[in-house]
Amino acid sequence: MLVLEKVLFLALKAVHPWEILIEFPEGKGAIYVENRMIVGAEYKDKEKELKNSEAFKIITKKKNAIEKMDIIPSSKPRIKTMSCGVHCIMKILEEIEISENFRQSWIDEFLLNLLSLDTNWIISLTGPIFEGKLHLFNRNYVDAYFFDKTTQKAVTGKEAFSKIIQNREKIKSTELIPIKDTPPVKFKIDFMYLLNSLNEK
Amino acid sequence: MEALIVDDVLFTRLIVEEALHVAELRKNIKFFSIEHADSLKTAMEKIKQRKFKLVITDIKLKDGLGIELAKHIKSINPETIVIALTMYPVEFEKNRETFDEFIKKPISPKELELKLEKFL
Repeated sequence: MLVLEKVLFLALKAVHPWEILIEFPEGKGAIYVENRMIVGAEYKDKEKELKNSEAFKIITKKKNAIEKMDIIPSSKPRIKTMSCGVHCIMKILEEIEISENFRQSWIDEFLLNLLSLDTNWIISLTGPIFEGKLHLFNRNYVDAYFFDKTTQKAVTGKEAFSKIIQNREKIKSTELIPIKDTPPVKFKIDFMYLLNSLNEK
Repeated sequence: MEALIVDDVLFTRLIVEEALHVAELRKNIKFFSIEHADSLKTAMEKIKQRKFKLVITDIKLKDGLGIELAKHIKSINPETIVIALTMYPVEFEKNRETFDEFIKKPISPKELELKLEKFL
């Protein structure tokens, strides 16, 4: 299967002009490459018609929905309407990736990043259906508390940790409270363990 | 020499790989294998399976931080050269101790070659 980024990478090696024609379920796009840079791009669907950088950005954002892609050598000269070389393309692709990841899960990033801290905290987590707490000590989560607002039932330890992970997308606010005394260590969840837990579907 | 490139974006990994091949030609070194990982999880799996002499990793990966990857690599294999890739140099400044070098994205093959010169 052709991958847009691979096709672009190869097309950018050539001096000869190429047209990359792309079909989506509900739209069409084209990227024009010449002399190691993108010199034009177009995107069209029922709602909008975009050109150049805007068209290239939407094509790359929708790259996983590409149904068909053809790469054909261009016979006629094209008027350059944009100029985007390797650096510019990399920047656009990186920015899109960052914005997509951010949208997907701020809470995953938050819980993972806390494990890089050298300080110890109770992390209070609040959502519409529950309240939770995680105890962060020596770069490990060592205890948890989960209170279900519907059933009015509270659990602690590993069970509470699992419930927080299962319901993490419902967390609306967080608060960090410094730990003053050494907390009880009921389990040890380090960065890799948490990473694996977050990736389990 | 075995190298691992870790970045969410395929295009960036391809550019880094090409830069390594250019360095190969100019510096008379040989990369026996250049592997890719698009996430922290995949990178960790690859590191479990084999030893890499050079790891070039993005700092912000979709499923975690390259800083954790670098710390893990250095704890099991301190001689591995770990280079950070980032769009935000301030991130490298905060974690200077963890990495051997850093390259600001978007990278240029010339810059990578210059940074590698110190180690190869």
